[in-house]
Amino acid sequence: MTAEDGQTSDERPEPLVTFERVGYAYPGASRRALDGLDMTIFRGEFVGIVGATGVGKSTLCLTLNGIVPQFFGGSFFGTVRITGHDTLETATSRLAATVGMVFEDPETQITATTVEGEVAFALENLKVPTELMQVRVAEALRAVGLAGLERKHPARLSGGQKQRLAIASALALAPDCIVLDEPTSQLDPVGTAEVFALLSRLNRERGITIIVASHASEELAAVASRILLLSGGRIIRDGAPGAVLGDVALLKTHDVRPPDIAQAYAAVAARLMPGTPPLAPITLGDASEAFAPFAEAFAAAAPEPASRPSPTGAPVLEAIGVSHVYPDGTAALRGVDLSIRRGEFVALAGRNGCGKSTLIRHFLHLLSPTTGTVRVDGIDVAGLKISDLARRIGYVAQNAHQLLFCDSVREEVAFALTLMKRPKGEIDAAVQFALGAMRLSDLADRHPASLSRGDRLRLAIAATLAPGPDMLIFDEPTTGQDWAGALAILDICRSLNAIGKTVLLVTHHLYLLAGYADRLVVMAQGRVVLDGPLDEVLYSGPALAAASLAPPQTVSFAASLDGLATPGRRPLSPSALAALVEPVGEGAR
Amino acid sequence: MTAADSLLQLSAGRFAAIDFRVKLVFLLLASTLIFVWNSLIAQGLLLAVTIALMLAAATPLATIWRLIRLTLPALILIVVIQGLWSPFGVHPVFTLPDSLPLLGGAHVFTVEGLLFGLAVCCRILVPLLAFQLVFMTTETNDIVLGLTRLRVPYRVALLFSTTFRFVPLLLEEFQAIKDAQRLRGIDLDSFGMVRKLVAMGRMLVPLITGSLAKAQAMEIALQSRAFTGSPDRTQLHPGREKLTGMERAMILIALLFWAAAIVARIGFGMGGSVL
Repeated sequence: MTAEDGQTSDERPEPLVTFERVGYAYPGASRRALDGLDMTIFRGEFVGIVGATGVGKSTLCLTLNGIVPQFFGGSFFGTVRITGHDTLETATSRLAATVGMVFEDPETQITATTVEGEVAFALENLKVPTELMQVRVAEALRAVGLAGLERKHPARLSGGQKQRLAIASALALAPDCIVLDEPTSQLDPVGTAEVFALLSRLNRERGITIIVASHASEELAAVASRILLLSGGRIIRDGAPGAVLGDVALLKTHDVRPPDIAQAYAAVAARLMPGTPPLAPITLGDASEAFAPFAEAFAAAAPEPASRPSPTGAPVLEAIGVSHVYPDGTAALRGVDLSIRRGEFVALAGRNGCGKSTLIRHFLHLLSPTTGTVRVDGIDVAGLKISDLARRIGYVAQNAHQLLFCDSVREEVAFALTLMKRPKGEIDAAVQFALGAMRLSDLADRHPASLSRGDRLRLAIAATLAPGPDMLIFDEPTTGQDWAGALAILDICRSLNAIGKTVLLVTHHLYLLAGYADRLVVMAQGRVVLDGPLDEVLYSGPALAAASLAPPQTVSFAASLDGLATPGRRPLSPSALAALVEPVGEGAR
Repeated sequence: MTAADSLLQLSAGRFAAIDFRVKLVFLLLASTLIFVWNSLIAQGLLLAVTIALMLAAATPLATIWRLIRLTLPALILIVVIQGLWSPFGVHPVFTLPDSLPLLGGAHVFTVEGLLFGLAVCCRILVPLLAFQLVFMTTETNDIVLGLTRLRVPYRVALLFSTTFRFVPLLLEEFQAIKDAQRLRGIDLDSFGMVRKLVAMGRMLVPLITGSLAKAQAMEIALQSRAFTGSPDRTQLHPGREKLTGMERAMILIALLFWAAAIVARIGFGMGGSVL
């Protein structure tokens, strides 16, 4: 399969990567991770690879420098050629000079103890002469905006800086292409924007071919020249971004989140233009033109009176004038006042380093305030025993699915209670409740390691529920998740909220919140800068931007239209935007 | 600041600029002389010099204190045991009154024993602090280079650099697991030995699986950067293949001092007695 559109000129650039009937299965796996891939990637392209978790995106990336199959083994079929070199016959160490790789986790891919040492590492391995190496290292660091930090320890960089460092390491090789596997999934919106802006510049100004696997639909739509949709190890669609990311129905079938604005368009079009939907716009820039035919329908929409039950429960989590200064002098919290009432579903957002985690650690009594008071259930948290606290607050870490300790699902849920020597009847009842709430009763005797990632996360939540907490704190559970995974977690949060649990959800993904959270708290530089009903905060415009957060595209778009940003309307999601227009009946077509 | 953070301390300064080979000689000197001497004064001096060098190299006091605190229980135990039962013990610190049944008249602590206990403490602290000083003031790259120049195989030398990267990751992982258990309500400090061991044993499962996954990701990242383990490579900062005259002199003086100290100890018994 080749690109259907995209390049239409006569002088096609030369092929850089060719896949011929490529199939691959990991050792011991019955299913093929890649299944019959045929494609050519040309020099100078910016290729985005989209697909749900487990469809073969990472495997595809790893075939590009021969790690698959040279490192993993397994059964490999077909041929992959990079600049004419067969990846089966060329050593990975030689391919490394042609293909620069950037991986998801900044922690495990950085090997050196200084920024410049990190960039130089691959060059040293490739025996690049010292003088040339020094030029290339300095040049690469300048290109990614890290010049001046040469002697810094990489651990001291921010997430976005770490990934830019990884890109610099790839760039210093002067490679023909840079391959990135989920480079932004661990980053906040600012870090993500930094990385995509850099990639776009390298592609545009230097002609470096970029191949990036990512869940960041909006960013890909803005910068890619070609999109591959993968599903079940196959290429389902290959074309210009508009043709792939604008096909909302197709993406949804394959569990890929379309850009928010594309979803919004598709939802509105489904009401106003029944039948085959046209391709949706994929960037905000294209939206106004595409939505123009619908302007009248929006104008006719009547505002609905805002009805919002204000929370009445007693405050269960309170921070009163909380400041925290770390031993190294960093002031992480500067007078935070926050009160969360029983039964609320609150989202907490803000860029990395804004103090979210520090605040959460105060509620969990893993940190104590330098000044101020933290109360849980009206009690100063300093006075609560560890076991008392666990009975009040449940905490679900981002990697909770990896923090499992026991040999069976039932044992895992009972683990803490057993160690606390609770009566057997109490343990059994708690386990039964927790397994039921997380729909794990049928899996009670399975080994946790045999479960899927999603089930393991539900198990970790069940174990958190067992001591019977009324409040649950979810710490960036949607980070690194694909669309279906993120929605599944939010559904769990909502169902727990529905049975009366107070939920505090930390996330960067504001576009996921509509329909789930009622209230959004935004932190910046150690302070709470915005706190209010979800619609108010998302429609706060410059105030949100000042905290380095961007609202979902639907919100940005609606805010640009007359009358849609008034209270009572304020659509937060594509479906809410569509609900503002009267559907056209089948007969009216 | 987390535990992992203080391991990442890389300080600048004059000591840091000295060639790794010179530092290594100093480390060997300090760690052997401390066993040649029994003298508390000589050992105390060596300890003081080591700590002074650490402070001069801008090692935070907190890091020094953390290392001392780590060994403190063992140090106290050593002083107590030596103080009570050291064969060198002559002068009792105090003697239990004769009127006391069973234990009456027994000597509790001897001056010589306590002093020898302190000397043994120096034997633990000096190598520990000197190791921290040498390795924390040397960039990993220079350690690897220095070791390969001393004919240590490149792969072995690189183990150092990866260990330095990996240990903080492991510590972070361990802390996250401990927090996870604590937040489920498991209060290790309030548990008896058996329950504590059960909980700690369970921690190993995610720690090992997590470490294996991280090790594999690191290996893939290394291979993707053309790493083969071959010593045939170039360097961003090749450093000086040759030592400067000053550094040669420092090594010579150190070795002469070392030899003299041993000769003095064996031939003349200098530094042999505790005081």
